[in-house]
Amino acid sequence: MTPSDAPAAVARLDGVTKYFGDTAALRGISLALPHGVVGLLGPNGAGKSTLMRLLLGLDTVDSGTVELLGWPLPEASLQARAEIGFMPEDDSLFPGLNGIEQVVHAARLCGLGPTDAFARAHEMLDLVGLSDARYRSASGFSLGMRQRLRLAMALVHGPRLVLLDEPTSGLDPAGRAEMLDLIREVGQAGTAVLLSTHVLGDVEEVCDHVVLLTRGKLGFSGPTSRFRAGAAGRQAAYAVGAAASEVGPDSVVGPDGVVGPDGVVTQDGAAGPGGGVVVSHYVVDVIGDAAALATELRRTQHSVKVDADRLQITFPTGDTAALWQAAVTCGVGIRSFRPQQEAMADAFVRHLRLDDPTRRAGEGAP
Amino acid sequence: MTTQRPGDEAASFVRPAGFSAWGGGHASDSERLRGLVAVFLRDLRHGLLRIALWLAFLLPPAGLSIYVWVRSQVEAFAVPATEQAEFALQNLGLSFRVGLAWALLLQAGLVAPTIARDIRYGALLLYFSRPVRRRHYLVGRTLAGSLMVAAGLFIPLFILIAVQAMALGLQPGGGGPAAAPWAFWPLAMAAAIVASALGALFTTVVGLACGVIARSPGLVPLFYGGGVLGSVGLSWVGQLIWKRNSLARSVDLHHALEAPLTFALQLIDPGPAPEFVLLDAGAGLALWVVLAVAGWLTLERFIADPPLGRGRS
Repeated sequence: MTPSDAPAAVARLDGVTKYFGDTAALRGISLALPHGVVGLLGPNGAGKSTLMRLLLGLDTVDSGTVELLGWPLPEASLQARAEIGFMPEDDSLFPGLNGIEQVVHAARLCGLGPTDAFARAHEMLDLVGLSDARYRSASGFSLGMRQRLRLAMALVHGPRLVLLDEPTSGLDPAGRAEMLDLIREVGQAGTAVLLSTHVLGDVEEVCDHVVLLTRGKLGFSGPTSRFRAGAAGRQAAYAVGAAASEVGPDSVVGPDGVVGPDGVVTQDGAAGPGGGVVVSHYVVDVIGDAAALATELRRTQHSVKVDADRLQITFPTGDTAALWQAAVTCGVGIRSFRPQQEAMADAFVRHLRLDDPTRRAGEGAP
Repeated sequence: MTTQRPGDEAASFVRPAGFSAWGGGHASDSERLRGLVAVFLRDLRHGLLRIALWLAFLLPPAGLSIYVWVRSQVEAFAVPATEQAEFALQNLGLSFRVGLAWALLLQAGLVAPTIARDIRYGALLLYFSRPVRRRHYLVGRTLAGSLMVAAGLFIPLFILIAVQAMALGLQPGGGGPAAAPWAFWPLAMAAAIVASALGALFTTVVGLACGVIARSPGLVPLFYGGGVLGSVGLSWVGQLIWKRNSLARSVDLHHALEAPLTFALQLIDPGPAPEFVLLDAGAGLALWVVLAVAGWLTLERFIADPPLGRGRS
């Protein structure tokens, strides 16, 4: 069996459904995991672990197809597993072995010869900063050391894809930062990473792409920036462009600080930090009387927070034309205008609500 | 002049090259199985009791060797030439019996808990998330345990055969195939190999199955040892009631394990063995075959859906 030629995606799932008894763990998931560092998010019971197990070939789908690194699963799960590394969330280690033996054992299981396994194991222990502890019994390692050891074991055979299940779980801030540095480094070296975690900050720091599972369904899949900003980018782009062409005052400066030849803002908001997605919260740096602009905006039912020359404005409909109109009215300039980055936690909750009709209905209730 | 902050050196020592993907080759499927067996063997050698157990295996044949040497060299205790073959085979049988007792202890303490330990420490997930076939894991564990125990059974026999060959001569007599020139000791050696291999295989499969059933590594020795001791007790009670009944005797799992050597030695030198000895051996062999098959089926069932849950290091 050979993998399909040069897979564009690291993994492809097509209509994947998995039941445990009567409970659907995954429901019709269709997904292409891109290269790079991908965050797998979801609340407990969303199906993250099931998805990981399917990719590892530990479970089989009830319907649909899974392809990993070009290998169809579960038929070629052995070949696929030879090319992936896995760091489990569980506190799993081979019993009775010291640090170097753990990594050598992992390398041997993946098919490295004894000499290569030893050389590579030393290299990986150096990488994760366990050089001094390599001959100590792993059972005496701290949690942080065990996590790093498991990462070394996952990387020792040079996998094309690494599946990391809660790699920063239980780590102190310094340990977490080191772990994230390592993950970033692995990603930069060209190894694809699938990072399953509850820690949204981890995803924010290292992931290029986010996959969100909610109640067994795909809630979101896309770049991290788009996950945070939401889905109104096209609206924002229209609003900025339209507002600029409609208002066009000399004193108004566009989102990138460029004024068009006739004083019209030409920059399209779609290219802003929101990555061409929907944003209704903006941060505006004002030249002139920021308080007056805030008062004018409040008069038109906008929520505004003032911090010296900086305003945080919420546009209820996503339409930003009012800002430009208010700026002209107040005679103030806009130094910069950018979508406010939504916190990962807010974005996470928002995506969950989008997926949960009961929660959405509840929002309107008193 | 370049300056270096304190600690820079250490940092560069800790992480000299950064992450780089492995560009070397990978072993084939069969090479991986061999590697798995080698690692599992190494795992067994890590047992704390290993030195004591090896000594326990070697001391009885050492004592028997001295005894044989004395019987051959001191005229007052000399074995008559016509009885030398029977004397040599009896010594092999005795050594094997003692070795089996230690082998059962070795199984209970070191080999049987290995899968249970893998369950406890979450290592099964580490194995099966790598390119390891589940059947290979099982075969690897069984082969490693069997090789370990077989070595423990065979090495004492080998020593005893060598000492007896030197003490009693290269052809101590014997009938049947063993009567052929130069045939006695090679045949005895073959019998020792077959008996050791079968004894090791039976006890390993049953031991690992006990581990899978008991799950807790601490309970496995009790479960396995308790089973063997229970069978010995049951056999005694049966023999008291039915007076040397062969079936009652063969319920003794330790005694039943002697069957392969008993049969092998009978083939070498078909002496006037009492009928009940062969009946014992047959029933014992059948009992272990049944246990081993049941044990293997238990292991197969376990490995089809192994617990891949939370480990504890």
